[in-house]
Amino acid sequence: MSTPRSDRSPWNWLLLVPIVVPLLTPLYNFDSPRLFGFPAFYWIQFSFILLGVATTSIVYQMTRRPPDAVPVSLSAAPATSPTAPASEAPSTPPTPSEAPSTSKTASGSETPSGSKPSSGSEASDE
Amino acid sequence: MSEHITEIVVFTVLFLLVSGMGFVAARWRAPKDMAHLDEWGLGGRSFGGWITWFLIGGDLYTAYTFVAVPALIFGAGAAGFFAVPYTIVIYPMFFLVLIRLWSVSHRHGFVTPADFVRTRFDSPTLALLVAVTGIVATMPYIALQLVGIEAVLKTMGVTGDSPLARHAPIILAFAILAAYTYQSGLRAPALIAFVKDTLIYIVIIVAILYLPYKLGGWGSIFDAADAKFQASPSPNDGIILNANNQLQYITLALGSAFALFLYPHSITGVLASKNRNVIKRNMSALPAYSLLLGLIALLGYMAISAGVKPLPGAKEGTVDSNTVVPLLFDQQFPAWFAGIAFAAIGIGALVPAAIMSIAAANLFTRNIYKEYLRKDATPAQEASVAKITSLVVKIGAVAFIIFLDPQFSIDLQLIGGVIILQTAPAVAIGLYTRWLHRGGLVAGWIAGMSMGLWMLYQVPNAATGRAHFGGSAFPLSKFGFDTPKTIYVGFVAVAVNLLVVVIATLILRAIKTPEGIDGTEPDDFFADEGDPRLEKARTSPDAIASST
Repeated sequence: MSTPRSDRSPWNWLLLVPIVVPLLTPLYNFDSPRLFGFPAFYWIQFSFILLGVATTSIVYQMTRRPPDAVPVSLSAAPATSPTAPASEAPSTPPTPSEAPSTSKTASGSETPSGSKPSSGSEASDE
Repeated sequence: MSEHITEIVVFTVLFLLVSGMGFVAARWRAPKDMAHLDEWGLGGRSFGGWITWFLIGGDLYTAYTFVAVPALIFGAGAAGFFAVPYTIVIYPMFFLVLIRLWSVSHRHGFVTPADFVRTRFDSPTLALLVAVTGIVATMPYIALQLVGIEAVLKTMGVTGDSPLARHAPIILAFAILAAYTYQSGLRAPALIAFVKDTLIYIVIIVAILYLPYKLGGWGSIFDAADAKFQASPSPNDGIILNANNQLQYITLALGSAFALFLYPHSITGVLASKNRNVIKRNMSALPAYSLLLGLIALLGYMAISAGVKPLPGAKEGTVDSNTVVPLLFDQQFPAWFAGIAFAAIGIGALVPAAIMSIAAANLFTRNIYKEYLRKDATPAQEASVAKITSLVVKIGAVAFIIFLDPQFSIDLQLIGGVIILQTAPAVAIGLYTRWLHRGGLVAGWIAGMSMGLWMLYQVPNAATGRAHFGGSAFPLSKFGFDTPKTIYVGFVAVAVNLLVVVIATLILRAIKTPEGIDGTEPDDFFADEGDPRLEKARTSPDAIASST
């Protein structure tokens, strides 16, 4: 049910940019201009890190599945589940290990779910 | 030793703290039953965004980061900065390729890359080759982590002269590590990674703000390094690349990136995350560690500027350049802060060492023990075999350090990189196409492996006077080209591998050799959390986990 036919997207081609650009040494193999004392060789390569973050973020946002393809539930607290839309419940009976442990928000924001050692984030409310 | 007493106390306290966490981790997010390889070896495949970020970050950026990369920059300059493009290009590749491995593994309950190869190509032989390659490549990588700890211990003066006294603290540290990995599995490094990475970020932020201020600014740090390299007789050092080492720089960065995502420990970290979006989001967040790595690399220049002289090496007349970063902290910072920095390096070695030994243990269990020794092994038996194997692997890594010259830890790891690259056609290309023939893949593996080892054998090392296995920069002149340029061995070896795979595949298909049955379906490569078709084997015993 939640499996789309493919993960193909023209946006994926954008990922070639941070793979190819950092390997083109003629782009950055200079001492000057310096920035804050850093030779160009160093600050330009540091700036490629931002290039990598930007492109992967864009591609992630553009290729995210529509919400109905993603198993949706809530973030950290498993006990409070009123926000989980009933329509998201899989029609087939989920395997026991899967159903309770989905704890991703549909918004795609970096959720801290499960990162706290204190709250056993494996939900037990079958 | 007495002047280092504060450092030793801080180091020991922090080390014991995380060791305690390692044992407690068995109860963290605990399932009802740990006796399953999915639980011990993959943390229940349940890690969310933050845990995955810390775990993979702690996994990929190892003690090698802290010690060997700045040591390389200290010795050779810009050529050592390859670590930055290397860790930039890796994430888009993870994003595109490893996500498919996650999906197909989630769908079929694969624990190792060799499991995937086994099902995809219907070839236990090929799976065995992939598993053995993974184990062999991982061993020096674990040993490298020990070198990181050793550099710190040496700086604190807690290592004696006799071979046993020199290694006693490491053996002790590894015994503790082995014990809590045995008990807690992947949960131990996942929990410890929080402490490790927090310490590392604090140490590096303080260092890059304070040291340039103390050493006269970034400009004068780079100028001091430039002056050193101008004065040195070696033609291939300098604060920027020259005409001869650019090809090496590019191929090493790219080859290392390919290698990293084939390493069993990276795959273990990725498979432990709970869904595709966790992985994809992390590919945008993990480059924060690359920034950190770049700054750490530059500590090598700061050490030049501060006039650090590395401690003597294991052999007469050599220097152990791995000690430059610990010495820099020892000389420039108060003892308590140097102690924290040393603990960060020490703990930084524990996290990846634990994950690597788990990954190697998973490979042995799934692809050697279950495949050849005991086909009907239950999940509980698998888990207990893996736990014992993780102990054996760690003993092997300690033996590496005791019996081999640790000076060239980085080259040991580069040799590992060369051989793990030979699994690329089966694992990485296999995620996209089934066209390659299993027989061809075996032939290619043999060819690539032979080529890689032959080339490594041919590389001399001027610094130590060794004629063979002196590094991974292969002089193109040995191929008959009239040039002083060098190229990364792994790159050539994998190219040869691929060529042989393609030719052999064409031949085997022409003579209609059976190609086996593909156990995967195209849809499997996009499966996500909640897929209703999960195989029974996958539904682990913690099915209804208790939150207590």
